Amino acid sequence: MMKKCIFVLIYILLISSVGCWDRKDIETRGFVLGIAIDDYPPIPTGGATTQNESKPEEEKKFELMQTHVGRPTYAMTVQIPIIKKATFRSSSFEGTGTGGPATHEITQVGNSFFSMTREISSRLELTPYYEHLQALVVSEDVARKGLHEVLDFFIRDHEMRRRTRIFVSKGEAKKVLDVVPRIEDYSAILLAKLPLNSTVNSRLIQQTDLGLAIENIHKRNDFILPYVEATKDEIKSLGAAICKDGKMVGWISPIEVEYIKHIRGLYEGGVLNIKDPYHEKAIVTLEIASSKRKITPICEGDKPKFKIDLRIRGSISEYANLKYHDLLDENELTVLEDAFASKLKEECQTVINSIQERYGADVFHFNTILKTRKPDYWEQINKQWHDIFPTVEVDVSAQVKIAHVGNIR
Amino acid sequence: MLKRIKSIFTHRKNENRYENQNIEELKKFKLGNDLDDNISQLLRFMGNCFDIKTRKLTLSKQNVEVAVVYIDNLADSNIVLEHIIKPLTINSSDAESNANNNLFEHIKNSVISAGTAEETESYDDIVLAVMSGNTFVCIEGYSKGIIINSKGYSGRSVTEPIMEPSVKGPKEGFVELLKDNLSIIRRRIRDPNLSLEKHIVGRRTKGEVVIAYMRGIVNPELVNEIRKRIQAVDIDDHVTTAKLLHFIVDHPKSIFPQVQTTERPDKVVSALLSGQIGIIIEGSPTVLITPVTLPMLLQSADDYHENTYIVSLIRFSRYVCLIISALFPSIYIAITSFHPGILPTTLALSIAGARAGVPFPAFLEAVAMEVTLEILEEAGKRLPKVIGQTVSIVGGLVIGQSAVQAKIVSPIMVIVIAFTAIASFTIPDYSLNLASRILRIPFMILATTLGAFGISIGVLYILGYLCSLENLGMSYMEPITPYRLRDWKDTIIRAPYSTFGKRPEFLAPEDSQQQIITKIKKAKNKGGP
Repeated sequence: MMKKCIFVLIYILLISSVGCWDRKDIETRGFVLGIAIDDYPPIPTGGATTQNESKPEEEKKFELMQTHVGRPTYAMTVQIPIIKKATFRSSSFEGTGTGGPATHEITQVGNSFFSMTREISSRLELTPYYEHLQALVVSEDVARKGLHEVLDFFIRDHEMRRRTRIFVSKGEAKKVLDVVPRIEDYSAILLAKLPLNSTVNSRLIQQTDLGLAIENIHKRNDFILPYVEATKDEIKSLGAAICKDGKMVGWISPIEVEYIKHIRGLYEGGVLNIKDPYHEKAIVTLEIASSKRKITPICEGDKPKFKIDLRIRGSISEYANLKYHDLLDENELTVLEDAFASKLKEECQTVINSIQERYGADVFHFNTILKTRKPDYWEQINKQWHDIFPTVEVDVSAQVKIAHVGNIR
Repeated sequence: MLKRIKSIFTHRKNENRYENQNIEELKKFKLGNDLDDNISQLLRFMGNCFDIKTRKLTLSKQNVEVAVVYIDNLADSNIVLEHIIKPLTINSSDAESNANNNLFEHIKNSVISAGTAEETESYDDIVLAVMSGNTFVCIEGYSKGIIINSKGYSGRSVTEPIMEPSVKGPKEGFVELLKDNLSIIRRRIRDPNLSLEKHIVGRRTKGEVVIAYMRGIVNPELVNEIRKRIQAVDIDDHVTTAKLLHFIVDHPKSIFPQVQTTERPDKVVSALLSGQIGIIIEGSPTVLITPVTLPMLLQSADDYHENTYIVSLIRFSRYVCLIISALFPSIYIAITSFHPGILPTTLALSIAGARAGVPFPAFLEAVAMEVTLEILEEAGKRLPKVIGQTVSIVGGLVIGQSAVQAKIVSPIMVIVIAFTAIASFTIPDYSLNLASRILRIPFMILATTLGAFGISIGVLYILGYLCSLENLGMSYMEPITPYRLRDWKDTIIRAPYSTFGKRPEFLAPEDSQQQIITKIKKAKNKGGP
């Protein structure tokens, strides 16, 4: 009896002295869904959808914060859904549905992201909560200045998640968050769901995790990040930002992204068009179901060589600009397969060469392959890799198998 | 301080100790030779009540006086008249040839035509017999009498079990009358090894308690232990299932039921056949089964009337429901107030949206809903069935709906509590259901103070407690722990009957073979139609 009493007392003591340390009711948290990082100055103006009544000049007064040291260099915008308008749409509950934007966007200017997030609490009754952060949009200017400096807080803090999607935006990043999507409620969630379409569109990059980007930065790998562009009410993922040494160095086109994905073995599905070798005008479409890559490093002399073998399986899904064609002839199929293969081979080669020339950025992660397959050799050339990469020879070969020719009747 | 509080409620040993002198006195008295003396003594003992009937007869041939004593409403008047009084008056003429010495034997053996007739000479036997509805016959000149079984009171007829209905199983349930219950069990086990031991419990009420077990199957030590515990029960009052099980379990203060109470004869029969002991109490429509373990309490009668895969799924979901019933509100509290990060974003937003405008924290909300639920259930139990429906409509629909609309509680909380309540109703054993309900409150407190960490502390404590709980030398979590894989055939899943060869090992049955499985090769139909 006495023992039990002591246990109960200890429990009460523990609680009363520690308090309910993390207790916070769910509705008092401000779920930050998206963050946009822009350069400062100037403060981003964003779209015209600012819901605040006050004039821009007056608004900007709050955006500046007093810093401990240094000058403000970044502007961070957080997207917080207005919960009352957001969810549980049922006719019997008032205050839901129409009118006004569904999110509240707060811009804060400063030089430390952590103090900026804390500063936001002085302007919002809800406590910002980052565990549901969906998307991080970094403007191109910031990315060119260096991603490393920006992203540290977003991986170091315990509320941050590795799976947050990261994007580089053309122009102001706030403009991307300002978009009011037509179907999805919040632009941040739209952004987070966008890469999931990479199974049907090979121009989208599915590996966009914040954790992965940070990992690459720390490993001194080069990588690509999805590049997004926004209009007033639409967001489009368009090509990729190519990053070297944790800095954006250039932009590559969507088609180049496709071939990079082929070479890296990340291809999940997409299309490939060629001109029909028999018919002048016809464009044949191959729906690629699977793309398998086999890469072999050949380490002779002071420069490694790579042999890439692509195996594509797909089906013919369209024959455009041609009246009628049944494709039942086996020989014709073989010719088609070869045509696709040579197209793929050529393009891959071109993309590799062009990236080697333009940026010298190893976005194909050849260094990882060397490191895992030929560790001894890697030790030798480790230091000079950035000099070696632009001159590395790559030999691409491709094999295409057409599994189905599709319905024609 | 606590000791002082405790002493208010506990029995004070030296004060007010009631000595039942009447009954102690009775044991000393024996019947005398004088009939009138005997009868007046007996009536004095029984307080000269109006319903005690004494009929004096004179056997005409022998000119001997005979008295018949019975209680009017307890004894079957048909038996008393047709089989005791009538033969005594008419057939006594046949006794001519008998010597006077054998008159007692003659009456006992040849005259009285009732089912049983026992000799006795002590008053306590006679009083108990008459009080339980038997008839006492006393003959002039003999210092002994005859007790004739004439119990004739009627009870409720056998009906469907109310608390444990079954879809395909038998629709017969126990009733209050001991003889009916015994006959229900006897009818199902036509085995001479079925042992029924009668014990009298209750200093004043003298209720009958029957220990039922299968000789040759049950572990005899268990029977001895139970017998010892029942014999040691010394209470004044009417013995009920709840009271009795308080005396026969190891840890009566535990909230977990260590004895199974059931209204279903088929449950009792299968328990007896697997080596458990049944305790049947007069006046109680529930039968106790002991020893029992937690997995047994989650078995339902319907589990044995369906296909093994279907039953296994249902059984598994029942275990999940037990966990949900105890933990779901606390998990909800922990997630919404500590760890909203583990929810999918859209769900987190929708919960936050539902909770927006609710004035109370999730814990108070949950406690309020829990209390409301208990009130509704209690009200539903007390009221007759016709009004009970009104309560459920007013309580469930009107209060629930308007409380949500008035933003006193969030709709999600209503869902959580309702789901928890429904889950708790799937637990077949009502006492276990109550235990899981009681557990909710401490878990909610833990969740609101320490979050998921608190819940895991609580779960670990409960698991440790359950594993260390013992009754009759048997762990409460048998056969899950201690680990006996062979006995898992009837726990989380119900394996096919072909695996039910051995009885549960942990009950230590004398005869462990339950059934012998012989595979019959099916003749292949080669010809075809």
